[in-house]
Amino acid sequence: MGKWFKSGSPWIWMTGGAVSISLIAVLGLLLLIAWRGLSYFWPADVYEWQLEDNKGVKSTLIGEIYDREEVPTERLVSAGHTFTQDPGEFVTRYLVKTGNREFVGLDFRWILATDIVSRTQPADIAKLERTKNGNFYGYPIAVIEDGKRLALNSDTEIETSLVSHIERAVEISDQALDLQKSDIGAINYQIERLRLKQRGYELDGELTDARKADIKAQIDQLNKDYLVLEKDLFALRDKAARDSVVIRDMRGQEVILKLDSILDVSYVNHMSIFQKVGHWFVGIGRFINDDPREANTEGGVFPAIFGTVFMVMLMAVIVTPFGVVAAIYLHEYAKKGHY
Amino acid sequence: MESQVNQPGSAEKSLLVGRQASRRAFKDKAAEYGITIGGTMVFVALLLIFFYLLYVIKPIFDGAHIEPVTSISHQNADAKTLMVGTDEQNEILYRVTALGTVDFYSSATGQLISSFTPTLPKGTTVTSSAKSSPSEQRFALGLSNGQVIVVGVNFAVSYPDNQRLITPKLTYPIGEEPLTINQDGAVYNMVFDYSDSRMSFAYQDADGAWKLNRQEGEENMMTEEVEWTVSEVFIDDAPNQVVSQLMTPDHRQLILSTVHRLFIYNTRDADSVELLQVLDVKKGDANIKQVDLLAGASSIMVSYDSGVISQYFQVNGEKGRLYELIREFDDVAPVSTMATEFYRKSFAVLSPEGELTLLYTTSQRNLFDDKFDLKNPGLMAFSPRSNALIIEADNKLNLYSVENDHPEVSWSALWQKVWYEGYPEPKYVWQSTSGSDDFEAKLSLMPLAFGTMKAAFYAMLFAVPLAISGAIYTAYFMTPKVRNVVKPTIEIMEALPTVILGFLAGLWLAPLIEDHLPGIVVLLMLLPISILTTAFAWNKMPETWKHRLPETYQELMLLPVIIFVGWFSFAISPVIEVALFDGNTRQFITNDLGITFDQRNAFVVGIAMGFAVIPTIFSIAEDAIFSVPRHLSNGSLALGATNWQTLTKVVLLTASPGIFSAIMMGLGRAVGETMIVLMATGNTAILEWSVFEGMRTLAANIAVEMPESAIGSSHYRVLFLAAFVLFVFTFFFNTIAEVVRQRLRERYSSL
Repeated sequence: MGKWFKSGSPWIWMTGGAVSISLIAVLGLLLLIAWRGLSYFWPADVYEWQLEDNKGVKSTLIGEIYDREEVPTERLVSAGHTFTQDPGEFVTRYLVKTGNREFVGLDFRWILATDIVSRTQPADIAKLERTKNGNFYGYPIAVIEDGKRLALNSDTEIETSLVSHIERAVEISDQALDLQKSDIGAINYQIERLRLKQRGYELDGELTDARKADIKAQIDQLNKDYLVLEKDLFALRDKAARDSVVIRDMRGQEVILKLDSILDVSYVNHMSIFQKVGHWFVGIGRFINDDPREANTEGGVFPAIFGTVFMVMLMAVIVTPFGVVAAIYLHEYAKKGHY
Repeated sequence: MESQVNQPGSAEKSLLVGRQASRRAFKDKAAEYGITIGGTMVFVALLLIFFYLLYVIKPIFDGAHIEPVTSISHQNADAKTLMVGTDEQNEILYRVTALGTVDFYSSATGQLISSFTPTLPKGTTVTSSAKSSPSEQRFALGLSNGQVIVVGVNFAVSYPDNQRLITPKLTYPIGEEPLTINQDGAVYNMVFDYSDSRMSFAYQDADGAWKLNRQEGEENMMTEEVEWTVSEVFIDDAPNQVVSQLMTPDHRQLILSTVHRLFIYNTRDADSVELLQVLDVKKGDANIKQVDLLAGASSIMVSYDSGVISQYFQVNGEKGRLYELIREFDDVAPVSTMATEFYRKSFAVLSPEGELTLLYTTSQRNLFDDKFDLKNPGLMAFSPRSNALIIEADNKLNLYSVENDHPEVSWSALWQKVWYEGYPEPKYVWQSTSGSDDFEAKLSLMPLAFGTMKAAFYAMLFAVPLAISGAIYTAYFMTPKVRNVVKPTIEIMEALPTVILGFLAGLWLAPLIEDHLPGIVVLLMLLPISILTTAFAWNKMPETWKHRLPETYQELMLLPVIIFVGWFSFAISPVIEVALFDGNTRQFITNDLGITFDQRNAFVVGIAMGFAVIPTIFSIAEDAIFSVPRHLSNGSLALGATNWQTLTKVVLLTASPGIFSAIMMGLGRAVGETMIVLMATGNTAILEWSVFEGMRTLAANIAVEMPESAIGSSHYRVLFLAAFVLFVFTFFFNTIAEVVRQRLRERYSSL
């Protein structure tokens, strides 16, 4: 053994270990980021739990599991929790995303495994992705088109009808957004330029009555154009909000949601593997292409990507000549002593 | 024949002379100048940054400038002056006499604008008058019938015809009717304090007894009227021969000064006024000229006619919070009068001969010292924005403009321990901003510099062994096929934006480590043991087995071992936690071992920043070791040395310039790293070497505070100074690295 040590072989193995640790660190990090990031888009199963807490209060919870952890029972007991049966050394705790933000107090909730009476995975639970207030989980019961409840009998009929109506609403909403951004935006831009022109005259002391009247006339004309466009915009928005869906949430109550606030519906629990993969790709595509919503907690990061790419290109354009010229200088022209 | 011979010659000549040649020469010259200029541009850009930093920093080391502006004769020369002051724009100067008359003068024209006298009740005279702290601009008159009138000086700003007009007026916070505080007689030697719901009056009555009258106001919810409850108490242990009296603006303390002592009373509860402390301020034969409160009312300044000013403030000691002598300013002319600023801790003193000195307490700076033509100086006051001084001398009101932008910063304030108000002892503290106006900015760069070095130290502690060992193995022992895969993989680490590393470290790694502390310890112990065990086992294995495994896979054998050891340590961690530490390791460390444990600490930063620095060190060191000529190691092996001996005694020494350079590059990078430190430490500016506590580095501090500092303020310039210090650090390290590298290269390249 001493000879083996003297040969220096163990130290060589230690250096080999260092390489292995570095490799594991690199690949592990990349894997961690990829896994944590990409698994977010995979459609998670939506469960329905029947809960009964230690005071005997029963409740129903619908949502996705976001995280789980094992908590030492002692920590819960010292925090004041009492158990009806001894749960052992550790208690499992689940973080459930319940969505439905405007109806229940919390978006996310921790539930203890000891409180769960039963858990099912109903096939007709739908997840609605919305423009405001986050996701909504529930059982769609009916579709209301233009004030009339459609006569739909089976769940598949409800699903197909809901999907087509949502697609219509999304398309009309996109048209409205287009109108707002490009046409109305152009009018805003013109009005702002006229205002700045007027202010410029004011500061120079050259604001004659004729100029003032002329600018005012132009602004009035632009305002008239805007009113026409505004009517169109409101008409489109009303059109988009024509239909609604009746959906039963976890409290057992029927909620009516207008379809102009819904971006997508997915019946996660009876999607096939191919549909789930497709949904995953669509989710990633939306993340890269959409603008952010709800204070950057929902939607996409396209503006950030655009900013990064733009900044890098600008930097490359400015810096590359500098770098190349400096390199040529050092190599060809600089005297040895000055390095 | 001749033409054939001649032609090559003439063709040659036309290449060297003529228009083509001069155009080429021109292009060559142009390229030379262009590229030289372009190349030096990079250097120039660096110099520009350097000089811009210096340009922003320079103003903080300038002193103050004071210049006379105007001098106005005032009326009522025979009445004693109670208070002088100006409005915010220094357009109107005012003087309050001891009888309550307020005269307002225009500083531009020198004319009297208006004069007000509060109406006294019939048959009463003013027996005492007192002024409030400078920032409140109020005064009170004590009358011979036991009543007081509280008056405030106010300036209304209006813009008729788009021209600013400032109109002075008096306000009466408790109404124009005087308030009765002493039923039995006149009010003498009064001092007062007024705030929205509380008033305190301390005075001496005709018998010489000191009393405190406290009025607490409560707004009746129903009627919205303020109801005042009065409480009055005698101050029994008051000294005889009180020379002057002071009350702190928060109604907390009353200070009665005799010739050589200060009696400080706790007046927070009007029911029980107790003597807090008797402070002996005798200094040889010197007489006390003035006792003042500094802005913020935490410090008492005592000025002597021998030219010494002492600062006292309360310090927590064994017997409670008592006033202690903190520092003295003794390089000053004999003091005749003193004025303090409204919000900052600077003050001005004037000698009887007209020598004006401007000082700042915390940084102990003497900002201005010069003689002006002032005879018989009376009272002195700062203007609200501290950009002017109004000095009453020789029956004239003299206005001086003051330019005093950055008094808080000095070499001692930045790099030495400073005794800040309220602290028990001098300390290095970085606390640049706070919510209140009269905050004492604590701008010591020591915690930040210390934090930078601590972060760099722990990062290098983690990175250097791993990177250098990895480089040794990859460059010297690894088969080329595997090396071509491993080297680029590890260099991918370098491309990772450090924001991601910081984000993961702060949000994923720190909680993971906190939850699995026993697992981390187990991992650190098991890793070397498991590697050595695998090595030993491989050594002992029969030769036939060894030859079955292709050589490329031998080197990757440790990967599954290490993965298994990692998984095992984390899996066993909860079990150990329950067995040894009662289920909560963190509590055990804090309570039983007494070590402070922060979730985001130097350990997390060491790992994260080490991760960022490893590829830098790895690639340079690896290249250095790889480029050691093969004939050296071959010769050593041929002479009978083992692989390891060859490595340590021949190869490493030859590659030492490169390895040293690699470590220095890594260190330079670790010192300047911002995002990882920003997210993974707690950003606490403390001076602790403990691996379980956080830190704040220069870079992270700049990132955090620069967006919120006022442009041009002292805070802003000190942040630039921090940037400059960082610049110099990195420059210094890189220069040393280059110099040592050149020396080592000369020594070992001759092999």
